[in-house]
Amino acid sequence: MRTQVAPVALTPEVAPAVLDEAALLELYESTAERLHRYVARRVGTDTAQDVVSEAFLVLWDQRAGQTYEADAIRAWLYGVATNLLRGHVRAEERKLRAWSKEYAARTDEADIGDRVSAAADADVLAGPLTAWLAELRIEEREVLLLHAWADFTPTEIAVALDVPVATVRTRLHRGRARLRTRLAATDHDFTEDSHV
Amino acid sequence: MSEPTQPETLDRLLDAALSRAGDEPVQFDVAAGKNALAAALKARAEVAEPIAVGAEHQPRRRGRWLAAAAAVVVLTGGGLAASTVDLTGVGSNSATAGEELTKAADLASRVVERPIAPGQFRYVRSRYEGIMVELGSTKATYSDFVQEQWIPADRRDEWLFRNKIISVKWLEGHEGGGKPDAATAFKDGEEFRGKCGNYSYYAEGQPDRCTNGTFSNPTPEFVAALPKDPKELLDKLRDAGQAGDSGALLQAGEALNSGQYPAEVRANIFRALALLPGLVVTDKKANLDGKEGVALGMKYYDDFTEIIIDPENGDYIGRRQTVAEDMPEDKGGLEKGTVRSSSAVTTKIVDSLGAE
Repeated sequence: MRTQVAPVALTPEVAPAVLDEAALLELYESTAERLHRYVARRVGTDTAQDVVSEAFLVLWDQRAGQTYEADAIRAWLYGVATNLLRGHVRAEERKLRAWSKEYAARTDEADIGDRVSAAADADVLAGPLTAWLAELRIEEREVLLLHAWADFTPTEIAVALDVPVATVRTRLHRGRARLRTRLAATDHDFTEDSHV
Repeated sequence: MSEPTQPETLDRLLDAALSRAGDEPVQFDVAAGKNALAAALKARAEVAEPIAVGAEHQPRRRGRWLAAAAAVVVLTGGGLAASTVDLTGVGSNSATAGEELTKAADLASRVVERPIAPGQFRYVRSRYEGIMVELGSTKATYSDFVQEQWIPADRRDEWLFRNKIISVKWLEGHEGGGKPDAATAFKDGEEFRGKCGNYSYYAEGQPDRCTNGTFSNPTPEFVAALPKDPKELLDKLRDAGQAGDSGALLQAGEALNSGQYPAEVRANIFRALALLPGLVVTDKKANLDGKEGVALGMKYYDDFTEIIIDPENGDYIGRRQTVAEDMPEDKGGLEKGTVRSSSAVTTKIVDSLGAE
């Protein structure tokens, strides 16, 4: 089993605590902003607010009064949010395409064509890439974005979504292959050998 | 584009563009959100009070929990040398692979299995060994663990899952600093129980193992609906795998690794795979968890993805991934033929939950 990103550093084991109201609110304080950022990137801020709130309420409904481990919350909440986001697929695709158009307009103004660097390549390509993300199958997109935007390893994604790691890797490979194909087909002159 | 762009450059660009895509400042008021959550909890408590009177008639929904993020690591001294396979000459023996599978199918279809009786359990033990590479470096770890599952005759009854970490080491020649991470999100000795295999680490909204029939979770309805014709079965494997022939092989591996298919269906899966034109014998003496068999594989990105069968009796032994080409340094630098991961499966019918 391999991972495409650096493994998460080991955290010391913490004694299980009981999930009461104070603990839930504390968890919200430490986790919600990052989760919101990830969800907002996919569906926009309005829907993100609802999804994050719902994820925490689901956590409360399921586990109030029971023991929990703070380290385990992150993957669980992202798993719930991913399932909730499936109800917003169209909103997500609209958001990704809208961002792509808006970003294309912005990069025209900045005249990026004159900036010869790999960073400029990535900037130019971020726009169309967002539209291509909207064309991916939802299963591929959610694995790819949990990996790229939430820094989840394939093993963590497998646990959060309850699919075999091999399936996560398949979806990741396929999603990336599709995007690479689209990248290679653009008429942009890439800066070779530049580390971005 | 004036000249073809190198795949590595495309990968780097893709990662960089992905990190920029959709990234813009987002306003989030944590304090306001926290207040709203506190208010929602209060409102729920008020609504829930009358229901609590008849609590015994309102069974609490079973918790779904992930108790998995903090991996326990078994530290051992020194690094472990990777297992390797000689892949010289692989790629031109597709006919042999088909013959091996057809023979295995004939043998498997003759197996008479003891049916699982009400109250009994199917015990599935998977021994996993694998290398986890850190992208962008040559650091790699080796993990060895066993996952056991007890599946009740009636899938609606309670299931049990247990994870045992045997060892985690740095791979020889690929050592990093500090403790290596295990390639499993579960702790050593961790157990989960749940009806329908609906373990507590499941996220809300995840379909359970009674209703969600897939090749890796074969419900009786799913198995009954599988095509008997090998060609149609192969089409179904391709559809599920979503990656052509190699995707079909991966799906077949997941199906066989579940340890839950009756012998005649395993035989049919072998017959379906025998129709894959690109499948080749990658290793005539593949050893997984002490059992030797024939490895049949297909190139899938950087690896050969393989299933291992026992040519003597048609048993399925497990699956494996072997590095197909020397990997560049920034992808771990593993050599061609290195066994990246393997998973050996054994099954048994037992009388009680937890019995081996």
